[in-house]
Amino acid sequence: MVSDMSNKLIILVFCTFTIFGLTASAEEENTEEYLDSAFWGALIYAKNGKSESTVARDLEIKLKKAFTSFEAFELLGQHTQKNVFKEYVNWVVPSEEINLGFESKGRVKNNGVKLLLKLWRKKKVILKSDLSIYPDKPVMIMGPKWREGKLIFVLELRSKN
Amino acid sequence: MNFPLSDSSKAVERLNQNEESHDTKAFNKERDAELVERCQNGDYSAFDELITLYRGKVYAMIYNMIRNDADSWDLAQDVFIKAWKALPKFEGRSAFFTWLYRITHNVTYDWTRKRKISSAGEFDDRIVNEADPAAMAIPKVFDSPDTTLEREEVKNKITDAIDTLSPDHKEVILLKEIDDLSYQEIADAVGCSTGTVMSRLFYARKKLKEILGDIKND
Amino acid sequence: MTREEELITRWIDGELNGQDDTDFKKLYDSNPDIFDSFKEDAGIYKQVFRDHYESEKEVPYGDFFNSQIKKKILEENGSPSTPSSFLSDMIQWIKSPFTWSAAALSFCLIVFFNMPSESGFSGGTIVSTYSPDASVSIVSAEFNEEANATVIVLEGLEPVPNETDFSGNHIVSYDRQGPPGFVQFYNKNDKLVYILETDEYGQPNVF
Repeated sequence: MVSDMSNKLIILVFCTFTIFGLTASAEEENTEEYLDSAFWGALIYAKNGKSESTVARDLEIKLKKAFTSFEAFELLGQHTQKNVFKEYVNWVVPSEEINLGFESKGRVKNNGVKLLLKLWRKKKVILKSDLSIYPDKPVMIMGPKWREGKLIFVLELRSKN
Repeated sequence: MNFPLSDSSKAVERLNQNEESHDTKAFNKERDAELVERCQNGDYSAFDELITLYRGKVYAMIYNMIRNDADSWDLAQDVFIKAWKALPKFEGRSAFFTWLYRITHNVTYDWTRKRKISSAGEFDDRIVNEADPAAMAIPKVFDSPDTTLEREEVKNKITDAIDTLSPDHKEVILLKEIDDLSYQEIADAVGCSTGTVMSRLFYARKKLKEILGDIKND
Repeated sequence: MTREEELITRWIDGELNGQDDTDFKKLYDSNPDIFDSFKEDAGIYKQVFRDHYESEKEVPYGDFFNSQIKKKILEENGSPSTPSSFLSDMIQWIKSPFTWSAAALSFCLIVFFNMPSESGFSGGTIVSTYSPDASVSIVSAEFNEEANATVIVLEGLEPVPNETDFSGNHIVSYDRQGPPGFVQFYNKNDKLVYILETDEYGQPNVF
């Protein structure tokens, strides 16, 4: 009876492995249509008061929903990186005070890219994050206080065209 | 853009260029053989030299096919990693670069199949109608090519047309027109016979000629 | 391919020799205009190919490219062989039915929680987030559905001095044309604002 139970368990596991193999997504491989992408990065000053936002409208809406305690968002700097190579560190709007570096770790499903992010405060790493970024789904990191508000890094995956 | 017909002075110039390129090729073959031998004896620095010598060509070859920098960069690395693993089996029957091209071809095709970009073998007929491959194309009467082709838009149409060739045909014609490989070198690189190479060249040129005829009639 | 097609191809590529030469001459004489037009058009395409495609292309970050290849080769070759006693222990463990039942239950749960949604995007974007600095806390790190963005909020960070002037150095572009590991950042007046160098520890040094 014990050996009968063992056989049944082995069959159950085999079926489970098969199901798992069929349904599991190969996260390292992009089976979707190829996306020609670029990275847009920006440093933003989030504040309150009567000042108007200077970021694009779409981004402003997302920022307001993500950081509900702020009313206005000022663009301090931005640039687009068209070629991001695996394992090579790229920097978003640097300064002597705070820096966001990111490395591509390759593509994932749904046209995403796996990233390793590091946020530096001067010479110290204050944040490390393994995450995936997708088109139209930016990454937003709220950083330190500056003047009356806070600094936010935004990273977006965009089409090269 | 001027496309003068070849004359004897051009033929002599070309002959001189060919002689020079033969000398260079011979030198490269000797140099590569020495580096490969060192690699096969476990000297990684020799392989690093080979990477530096050929990474530009490998990268260009992949980029010409898939037209993307980031993926070309990754795939070029894959080519050299595969080359390192396969080096113990390299016997020197073909030139090192031809062997490396073969690996590049395989890596690019594997990637293309996965990405479903390939139109798999035959001509892509989105631009022009199917032509009878056995028939000789009759050239249409047109104005001087120089005048027509000065227009940038025409050039863009041609480059678009080149990109619609199937990977098999595009690869062969690029290796011939850009890298100036011989039929045998192309055959070794892509893994087919010289007859197939000539056949693909002929049909690629014929297809492009038809497109050129259509553009001139616009 | 026909013999004529082969001869035309060889002629265009300057690969006629011996008998081919003789055969082609006969063919050419029968209708020179056709063959001339073939060669002319082939010349046009050759020029377009050379303008549009490169035989050799500079690899971005060449030294880094080489080092990555070496790193990957070493990684693939460098895995240590496991001692035989550990291996036999592993085999014993794998054979145990208790291991299999626990594995089956775990995998069922993994499959259940990882079933893809209809849209194909499960919403999970963060694999791991942490701060190596004990004074910094991660208030939240998750995908915010409303904002449709991955949002990370930190607290306990040392404030940036008020006098730091970010807006005066409004970065709008960058390039990596300088030495490897150096990036130049420019403002909207095309003035070089910062040079960032990544040192051997990965630390950014901003000049």
